[in-house]
Amino acid sequence: MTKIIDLNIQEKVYKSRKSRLSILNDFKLEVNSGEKIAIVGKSGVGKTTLLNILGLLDRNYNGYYTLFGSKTNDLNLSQLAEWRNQKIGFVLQESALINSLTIEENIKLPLLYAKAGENNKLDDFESIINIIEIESILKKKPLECSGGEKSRVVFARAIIMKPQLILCDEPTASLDGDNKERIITLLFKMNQEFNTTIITVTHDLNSKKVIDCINNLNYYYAYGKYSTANIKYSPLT
Amino acid sequence: MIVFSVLLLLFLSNYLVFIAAQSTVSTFQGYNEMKHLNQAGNYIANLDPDSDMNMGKIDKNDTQNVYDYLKNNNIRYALFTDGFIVSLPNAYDMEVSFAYLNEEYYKLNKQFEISQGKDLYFDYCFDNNDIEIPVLIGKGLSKTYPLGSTIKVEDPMLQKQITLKVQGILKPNVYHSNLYSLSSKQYYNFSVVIPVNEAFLNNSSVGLQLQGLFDIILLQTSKNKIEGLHKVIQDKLGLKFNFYTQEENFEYFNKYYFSSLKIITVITVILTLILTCITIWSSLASIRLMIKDFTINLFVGLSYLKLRKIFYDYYGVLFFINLIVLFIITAYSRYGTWIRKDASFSTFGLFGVIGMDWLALLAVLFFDIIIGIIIVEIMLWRIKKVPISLGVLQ
Amino acid sequence: MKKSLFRLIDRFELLICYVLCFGFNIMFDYVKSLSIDSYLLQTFLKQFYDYQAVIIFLLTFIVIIFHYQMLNRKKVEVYCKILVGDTIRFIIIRYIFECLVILGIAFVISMIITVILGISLVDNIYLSCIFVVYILISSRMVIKFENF
Repeated sequence: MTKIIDLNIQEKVYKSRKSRLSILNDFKLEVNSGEKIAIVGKSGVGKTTLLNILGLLDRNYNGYYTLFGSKTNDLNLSQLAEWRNQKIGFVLQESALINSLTIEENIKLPLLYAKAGENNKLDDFESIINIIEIESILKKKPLECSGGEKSRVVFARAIIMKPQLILCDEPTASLDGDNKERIITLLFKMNQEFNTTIITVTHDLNSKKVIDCINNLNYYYAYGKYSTANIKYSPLT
Repeated sequence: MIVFSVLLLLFLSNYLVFIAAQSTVSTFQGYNEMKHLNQAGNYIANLDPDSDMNMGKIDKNDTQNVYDYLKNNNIRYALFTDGFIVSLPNAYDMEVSFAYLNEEYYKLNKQFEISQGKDLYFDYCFDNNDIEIPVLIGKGLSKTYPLGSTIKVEDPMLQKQITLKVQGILKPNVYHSNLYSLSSKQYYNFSVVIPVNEAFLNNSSVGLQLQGLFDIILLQTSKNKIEGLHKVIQDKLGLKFNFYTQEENFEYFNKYYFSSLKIITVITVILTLILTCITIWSSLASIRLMIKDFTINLFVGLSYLKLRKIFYDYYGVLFFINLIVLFIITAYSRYGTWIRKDASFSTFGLFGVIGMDWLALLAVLFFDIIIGIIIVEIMLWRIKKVPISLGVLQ
Repeated sequence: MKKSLFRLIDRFELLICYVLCFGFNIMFDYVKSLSIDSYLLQTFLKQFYDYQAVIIFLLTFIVIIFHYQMLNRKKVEVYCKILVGDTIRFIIIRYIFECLVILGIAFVISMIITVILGISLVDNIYLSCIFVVYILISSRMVIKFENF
């Protein structure tokens, strides 16, 4: 398997006038293509910061990060944006939708930034909305949709460009059982069909199915078939 | 940021309403004063704007001829002139101005109301050696010159030493409006009102006689007599006077004052509407930003009734701040005349703020109540339009 | 246009704000240029155009309100756009460009009116400079929204 992520953070510092917070000290992460990784930790330990770093939103840290074989420090801002558009999909909580746009416009948002010639992605739009079952709400605005519907919309937006890497931030935190199951199933489907790498940060990794998780960012878990039997964990220190 | 901007916008509209109300009240005060003078059969003199004016060429004989003509033809007239500055020590160290009026004017005008003492009388003895004239004085002079006291002074019009006896004290803020700009007026808090009788007029300098002619009001007379006077003035003084009838004066007032007031009202209404719309827009902008906070508070027990009260309190505070600022500006402007020792404009009241200012402030308060209700109800309507659900929070 | 932070209503609101400020400025200049016979009207108006600069400056706060509230509403949009391939630099450039275009339109409208009325354009040029400063300052706000 190809290693697509090689991240080594010595330190990430948040500074304010009164305090200095250092997180993700000596954090290392290596992920191979097609792996599904859950990063678990208590609130405030730096899960979202890590996701921002992995998603090329934050380069302000000490360390290095190689993504798809390229050192991200060597990429300029436009290249970073292009990678976010082409290679990375973000599945965030349902609030990350633009309320003034319709559901369809929200899903098609990445296409606005796609390179010329990438418009064939529009063909995928129909199949995606069919799979995700959101045809009926395409013309609605996010505020008119339920939490479950919005979560699926966020997911649809993340996969419309068929990214190689999907980053999830508590994607199912506010969902009920059925909707939770639906999103997780969709994620796994992406992984199986397109060998997409999936990284999730959470403080509650579907606790019923993934038991014995240590709520500590110092551990990350790769989970295969989404059952306890296949969990392997590697302490970083 | 938005609160500050809303405060400024409300202040602009309040300032606008205040200025408009003050101008209107002041104009109506002047108009009412003018109504006393502008009666049927009366003719108000006015120096023609095209008339050549060479004061140096006019001497006492010329002006006396005019007054003689008036006497010989039995033309009754009301005479008033003021603004003759005299140095008279007083508690406020203000310059004192002398105002001269004859009996007809005193009866006609009714502006010079007294708070203490007696009305003026005009049949005082005008003895060349010992002249004692009963006068009315402004409230500002009453401390130094109480009722019954005498003032020895060189009269600027008689140009000789005379004794003025304080006959009465004028009510505070007695004013006289300019005949041709009704909203502008001067106050008589530091004035001495001197009664002018025939002997006084005949003995006075050309200054009083000439100044008196400029705004002279001819009472219950005819067009023929007026034409004669017109000729005498032109022959003797070389001046062209117009004498306007009641109808002409009303026409003038209607043309200039009511049309001006109409324009002022229209401007005020339009600007106020625009500013109110902007204020409502700003308030709605703040609602847009804070809708989540409102929703959370409504979830945890805030009722619309309580929210309405909060909004009314909030706008009440904003309007109160604006009213205070307006009061400070007005007081600064009024009190400034005391600092500058501007006797003609110095007024008595809380920091010099007078009736018309309070009326204007009252108009602003009334305006604020209406605007406050409109803004708050629109804001509540906007908040109620948003369904209180988790969707809003998300 | 599709990448813009502005919706039609936002563009319209900003245009109205600019037009109002320019309009008030033109109105003051125009009234000053008139020879008004009525002393009463003159005195009334004088109390405003004596404070023209202050009043117009205070009025420009509506433009600040617009920028502030609009950008605050666009927090999520900025973040979402960055997620799907936009950059903060381009978002800011587009924002500045669009604000300037709307300002330009409002300025042209005001210019036409000043030419028709035969009054000086100088005051509105100063006003435009103030608006450009507001645009530049407000564009700094966008940077804050890079992280949701």
